Amino acid sequence: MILGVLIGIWMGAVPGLGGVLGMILLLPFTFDMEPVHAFALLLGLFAVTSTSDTIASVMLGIPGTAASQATILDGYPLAKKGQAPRAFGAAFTVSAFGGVFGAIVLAISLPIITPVITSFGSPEIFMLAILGLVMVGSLSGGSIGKGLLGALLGLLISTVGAAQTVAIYRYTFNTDYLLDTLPLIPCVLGLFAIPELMELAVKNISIARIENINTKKSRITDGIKDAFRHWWLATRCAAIGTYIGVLPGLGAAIVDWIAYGHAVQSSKDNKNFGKGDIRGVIAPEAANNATKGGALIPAVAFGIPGSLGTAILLGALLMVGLLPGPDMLTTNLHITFSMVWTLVFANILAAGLLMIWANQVAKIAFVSGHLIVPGVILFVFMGAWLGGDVAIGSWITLLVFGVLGYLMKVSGWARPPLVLGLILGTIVENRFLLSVRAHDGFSWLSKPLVLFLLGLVLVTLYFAIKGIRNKKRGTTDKDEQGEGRASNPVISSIVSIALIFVFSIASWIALDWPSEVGLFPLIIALPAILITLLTARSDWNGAQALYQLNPKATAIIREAIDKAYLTRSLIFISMLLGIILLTLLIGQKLVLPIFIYLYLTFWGSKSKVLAVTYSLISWVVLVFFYDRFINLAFYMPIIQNPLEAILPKNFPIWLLF
Amino acid sequence: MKRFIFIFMFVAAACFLFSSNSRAVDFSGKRIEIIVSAGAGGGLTRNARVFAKHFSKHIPGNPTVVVKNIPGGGGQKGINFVYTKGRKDGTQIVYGPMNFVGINVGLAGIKYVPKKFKLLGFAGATPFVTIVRKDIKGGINSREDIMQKSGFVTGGRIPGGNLGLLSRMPFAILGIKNRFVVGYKNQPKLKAAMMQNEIQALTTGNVGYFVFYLNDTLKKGNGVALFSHPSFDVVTGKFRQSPHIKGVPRFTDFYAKLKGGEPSGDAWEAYKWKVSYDTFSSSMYMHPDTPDNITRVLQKAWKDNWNDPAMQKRFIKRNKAMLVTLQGAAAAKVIEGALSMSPGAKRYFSAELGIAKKSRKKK
Repeated sequence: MILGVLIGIWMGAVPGLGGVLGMILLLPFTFDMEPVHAFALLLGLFAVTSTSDTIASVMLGIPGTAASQATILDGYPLAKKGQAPRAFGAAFTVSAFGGVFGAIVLAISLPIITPVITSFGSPEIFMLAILGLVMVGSLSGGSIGKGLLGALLGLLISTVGAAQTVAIYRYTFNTDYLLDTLPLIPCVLGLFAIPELMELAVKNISIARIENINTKKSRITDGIKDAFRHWWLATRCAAIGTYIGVLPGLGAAIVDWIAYGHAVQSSKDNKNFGKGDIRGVIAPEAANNATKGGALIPAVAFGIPGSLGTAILLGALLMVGLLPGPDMLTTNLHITFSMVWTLVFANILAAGLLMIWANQVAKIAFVSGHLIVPGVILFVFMGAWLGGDVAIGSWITLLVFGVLGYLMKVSGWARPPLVLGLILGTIVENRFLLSVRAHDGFSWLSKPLVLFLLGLVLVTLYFAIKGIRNKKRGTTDKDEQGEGRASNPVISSIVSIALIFVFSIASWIALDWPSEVGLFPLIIALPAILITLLTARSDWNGAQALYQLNPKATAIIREAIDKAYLTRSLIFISMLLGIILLTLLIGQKLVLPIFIYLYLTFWGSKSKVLAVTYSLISWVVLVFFYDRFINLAFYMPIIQNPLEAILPKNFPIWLLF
Repeated sequence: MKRFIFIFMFVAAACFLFSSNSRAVDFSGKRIEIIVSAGAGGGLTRNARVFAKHFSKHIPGNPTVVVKNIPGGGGQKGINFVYTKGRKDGTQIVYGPMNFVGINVGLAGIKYVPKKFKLLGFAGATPFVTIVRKDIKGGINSREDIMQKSGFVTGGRIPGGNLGLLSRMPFAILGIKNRFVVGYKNQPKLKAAMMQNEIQALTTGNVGYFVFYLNDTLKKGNGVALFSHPSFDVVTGKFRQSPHIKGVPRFTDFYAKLKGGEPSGDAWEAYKWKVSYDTFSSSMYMHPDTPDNITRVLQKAWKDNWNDPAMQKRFIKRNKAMLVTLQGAAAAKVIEGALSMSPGAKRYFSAELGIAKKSRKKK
């Protein structure tokens, strides 16, 4: 278990790796183990990735795994304020609490879980997904219209790939990569990681925007105290996490968003969310660890895994000759309880270890951005490669979403609604169609639980709109910080125009499809065009207000460009594009170290010795960690075959490609 | 002089050919990637991992063998990748079924030609089992009661998938009216839907039968295993035996008992084709340009691995039965049959996949 925990901490901390990959790597070693030992190893790893993924979320504004996306909204601003240790203290405490909470619920609910599973069919899951979408209201930052549009764009992107009910493909443009729904990891890394790295590189700043004050150990204890102060929030979010884990079909990626949305909406004083409110860290971190225990319940009791991670654990169960079902509560009860204890101890152990290391990790916040950017670029690119089906399409996705994320960030478009739409789109369409077809119409709308959830949707919507109105009345500072609150009407107009184009083309294409294929994209795209026109008008009004202050159009455009650091940002994006293009020619193992060398030497003005050392270390990571340890499939570049032909037969070509 | 040149060239060519064909294939220090065209958590990947665990020791040079998942497009993404961009030195091998239904009905997105692949062998052909809820429309006391039921909901995974088709076809052949709902993504979701009474009938694969139903739904008396769908051996002309599926009648026997004789119609044409040619889910094949000497070595390793007692022991522990494996003439016969579908079967599958109503404009 300790080995599993240590590997799990590493897998969670590096963006793009995650617990699923860790379990896949360890799975072959468990084939000949005793069941209890096998599960100690695998569960030890699986349980703690949601604890250590906080590190990247807080320090870099990059989700370590899909389960820690919402943590960045307040964790990263805390790091910017030099309060990373406090964020860690709170996050690790509630992670351990959430993990133990989930394990206890697993232990006591196994014999009585059947009614919960049977009460949540497609209609209920559809309504629950709608409830998740309504959270957009509390994640929209300054503009509900832009938040809604972000969500609609996410929903539209989720329709890429095979349709739900017939074998017809949507928006593939004859590329293999788009035959399936876009993988979440490259999209999320692009949306969040690339803009943050770009900011560090372009402005040449450290993560912490304050002077290097002494980060005393007491700061971690501040976070622990915060966790205890908000114990009721942590308990509620742990319960939400466990419950969502139990339900097959929602998935771990949504848990932290729902918990975050709940924290915002249930708080009377919520104006600091998105600017470094510790409750914005506590809520998702309590939930994402609790979901592990919850997801194990249906997997053990019925063989119905609640997530991909539990599906792999289920596979391990079968490999060692066990079957889920009643036997796990009778003859194999000791194995079930060994899982519970593993979850408990692994969560506590990981939190303890990470608290010991947290102060050292927090010091990264004061390191020059130029030293952080190259290394993180390597992990972000390789994380996207790994999470995006090891294809060049994953890097193109990363870059496209990176540009989109940058434009959204600098022009006041909140990014979380887009992610929410992306995650929930498939679930919403799939479960809606299943509900209609299985019930031969809309009779399912009168089911009691559906009506109850519909009521919750309406209440949530009401409070979301009310909250935004109150916030607008109370806001006086135009340059308010936080997600979706930046003001740049010129750049925002460009985004609006681009969206009108995207939604129009999507509608035009969808008109050609049979109704069951084209209905969902049309339901999304047609209203989106109207809403985009409204936001474009709002941006136009904003630009006109600027014009009245300074009646020179060129000056306004120049100011917008300067405010967004557009010129240097475009150069940075060009460098990333260069990475992709050069990879086609010479492969990743050479391109990424070369990029790091060039970045440090020419962009960062660092010494050549440092640049060479950094590049060599990155090459070692690529070759020995990603290639030899993880066995990752690298891109086969154009020069590989010709070079292999002239190199000696025994030359280890894996050192280069 | 001309004769001398001719002899010299002949000898040189013979030497070259001999040397290239007999050159020892050695995978020392290399890594073989088994590309599974499905998700990491599914049964196909689990089987691939068991296969991969033992594969290395049968290959000269004992390379590292790893499993990679390239899911998407109903399996087409991974297969297209190996066909169009895969390595040609035997270090990338697909593990999974080719989309023979899609090829026959002209499904978009398929970029490979099955016969061009370098085939290591077909493996699979394990039986499927159709299960219904016991309380379906007033209850089922004996299997024959299903003939009196109608209007229930049958669930499927993806359009054109085996689980859905093997749910649909038997009821269509028997003339039992039911509503088919596709989109449950995987077997666990199908099981959850059955527990919730959202669907009342489904078909599961060999492993799914044991993992999800035998020890739970059937043991608790909540469901009835109506009939099994063993594969049909085109070489012997008989259905394969599946003694590990105890007490569940074969669908054709069930039909014969209730209706007498052999069925007819498009659904039956489709069913026959399906169980004969399209249940080899664990087949393995490589890039078309893979050299013959490498192909031969890996074909032998593939065969040796399936016959390895240690591998078989581990495989049976999970699957309760070994897969049927085919190479050479038998495999060629399967490919021939798979690519020559009858018009009736084509009509049936086109309708099931929704290909017939592809475009509004074209209509």
